[in-house]
Amino acid sequence: MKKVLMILLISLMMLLSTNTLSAAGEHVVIKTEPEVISYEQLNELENDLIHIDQDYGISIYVIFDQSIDDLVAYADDFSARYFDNTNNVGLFINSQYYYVLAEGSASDVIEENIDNLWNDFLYYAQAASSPEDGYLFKAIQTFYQSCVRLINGEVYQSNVPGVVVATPYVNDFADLLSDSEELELNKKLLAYKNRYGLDAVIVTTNSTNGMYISDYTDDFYDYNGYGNDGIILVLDMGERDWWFSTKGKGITYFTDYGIDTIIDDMLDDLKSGRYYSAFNTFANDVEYFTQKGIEGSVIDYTPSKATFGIDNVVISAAIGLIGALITMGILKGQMRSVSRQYMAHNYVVNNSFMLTGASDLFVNRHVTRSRRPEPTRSSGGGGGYSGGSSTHTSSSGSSHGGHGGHF
Amino acid sequence: MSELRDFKCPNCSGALEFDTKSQKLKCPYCDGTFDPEVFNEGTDFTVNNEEWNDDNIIVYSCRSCGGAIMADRDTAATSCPYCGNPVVMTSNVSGVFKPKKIIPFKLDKKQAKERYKKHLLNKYLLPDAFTSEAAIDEIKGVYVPYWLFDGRANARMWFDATRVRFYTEGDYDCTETSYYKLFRAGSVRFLDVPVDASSKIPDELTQSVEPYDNAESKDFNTSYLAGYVADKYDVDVAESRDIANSRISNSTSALFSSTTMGYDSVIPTSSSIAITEGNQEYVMYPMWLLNVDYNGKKYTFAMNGQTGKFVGDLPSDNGKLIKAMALVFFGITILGSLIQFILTRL
Repeated sequence: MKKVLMILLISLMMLLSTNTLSAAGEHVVIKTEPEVISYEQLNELENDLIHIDQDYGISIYVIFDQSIDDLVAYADDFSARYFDNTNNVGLFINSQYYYVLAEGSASDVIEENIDNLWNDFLYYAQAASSPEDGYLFKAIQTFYQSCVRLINGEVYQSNVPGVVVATPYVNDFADLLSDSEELELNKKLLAYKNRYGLDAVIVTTNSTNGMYISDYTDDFYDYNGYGNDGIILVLDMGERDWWFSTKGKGITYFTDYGIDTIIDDMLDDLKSGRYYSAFNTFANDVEYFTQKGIEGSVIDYTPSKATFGIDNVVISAAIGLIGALITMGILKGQMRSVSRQYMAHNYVVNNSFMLTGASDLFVNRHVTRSRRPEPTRSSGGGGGYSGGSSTHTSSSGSSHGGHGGHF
Repeated sequence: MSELRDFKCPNCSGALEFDTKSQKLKCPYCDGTFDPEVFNEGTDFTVNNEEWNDDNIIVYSCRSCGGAIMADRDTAATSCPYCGNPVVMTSNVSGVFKPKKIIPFKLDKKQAKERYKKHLLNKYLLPDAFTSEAAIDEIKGVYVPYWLFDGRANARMWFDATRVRFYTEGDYDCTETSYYKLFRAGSVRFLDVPVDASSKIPDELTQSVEPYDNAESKDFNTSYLAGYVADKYDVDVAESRDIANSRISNSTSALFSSTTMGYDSVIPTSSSIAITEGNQEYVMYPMWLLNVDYNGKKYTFAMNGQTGKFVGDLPSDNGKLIKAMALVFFGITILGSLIQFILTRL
């Protein structure tokens, strides 16, 4: 899908006069006169964009060339040649117009915020007069950082040029995956993030640095800049332990039962070392569970529902029969009033009852013990779930759901 | 030879009868009343031996109307079936047959009939026809001869008792059973335990109208019998004593068992109850007997002539019973099924 936006360029015109090639790269092309960006700055931007390209599956291009006559034709031609990623954003500027071309699942958010993006760009670009002031550099950086944030589902924040922390969703410290596998998974989880706004994080490690795996998991999520809603899976290869932690909406969408269902799907692969397959299952399950949760049918343990059958009628009839017999007893009893008397309580002389001896002798004591049946939680089994998620509070003070086990 | 007595009004020679309201002998003709405790105006007369026939039935002519009165040899009081003239067989209430005490009737025939009607109320199973068709065939005020026994029971009883406590210890559910041996000894006294001394009236009936309040009893005087039916005792003291002792023993056992509170189970293991027998007394207690015919069957009702306690088994309409049971059965079955159906749909 392509979104085309074209707005008359006004104030930037003052800055630009002749076409002088300043610097050229794959993602950023700047041809301006006078020179307002240095080669080093250009390289830095280029590197950033390459990383964004790889880590998030977002390709961002900034072309600033006064010599382009037909900006739209140029942009179309450019997009046909270079737009090959999940999300593509191109900012094209000539002497008169700027033109933003967005493609992919996130093009809607870019379109919605195009004015904001441009205003922020202009805010810095207008002030640019030499490479030393770094304003054009700042303008371009703000533009792509904002794009990445928007695509990652964040609300647009104008003029807050915070540093975008690269938060890869796959943290393979134990090196279980190849680089390309990591990239694939990361792409998948990024797409999930873009679609549902939840972070799904995979961590593999050989050691939890002496921490309980539960704390390690919670802290990893809390202190690495992930969002308020998400799910994280930590595999500790040293102990062969797994641990899930959920946060925010993740607590709702991934119940205790749901987590066990996910790990059940993964367990065979985990045990036999097919980690990529296991994590793929993780990604698929997480997306499916989230979808279900958003639809309002959170996947949770539901006790097998009682059904109405002939048994219920038989039970009712049995109670009915008892009721009928009691009725008979009461009604028949009303008809009888003559009976032999075996007691003489009526003729006891008042106060003549005397207890002259009474002893209650303790003989012995007998104790029988029986082990209380433990509440069972078997992964995949039916029993033990009370429904919903059990939560705890992590060291950062935020509430987490989730639990773990061994593989 | 048989001694009889009838009661003529000293004023008008009318036949006197005991009146429950005034508790006095009353002349229905001149309304004269006489204290039965001191009334000695009765006329004693003798019936000749020849009039006894082979079946121990005495037949004699009513001195009032000349009608033939037939009486059982145990009969102590009766009335002429023709003119109602009351007569007492003095030989059956004198000597060893003389009751020491008597509780005079406090409730009359009219009240007995009212109690009977009340007895039929709120009996769902009573056949509809019973109220309309069943007729009171016979209603008579009867002085029932009773033996009264006093006794003191000495009891020694042993019980096995248990106390059960539940608690948890770690992962274990524990059941602690404590065993006790209980011993109880003591005594209790019983006064005036009545035993029906007439074999003609079923014991169940006489026992069901109990208790009588012996405190209201009067010294016996034949005048109290005027207008009622009475029999002398035909069950001897020894036989009656056994019945009284059995009831005393059962009550004593129950009384001592009730002192073993605070246990979860109490089982009597052995007991010895010795009864020290006390006085015995021969008395007459008042009872209204009603015979009702229904569908060719006789139903007997009895009312305590002192307290008004009314007893008597009634016939059941099986159709009504089946209807009621079916209603309850199907009602519960349908309602129960419906509730369960709704619950499974929630």
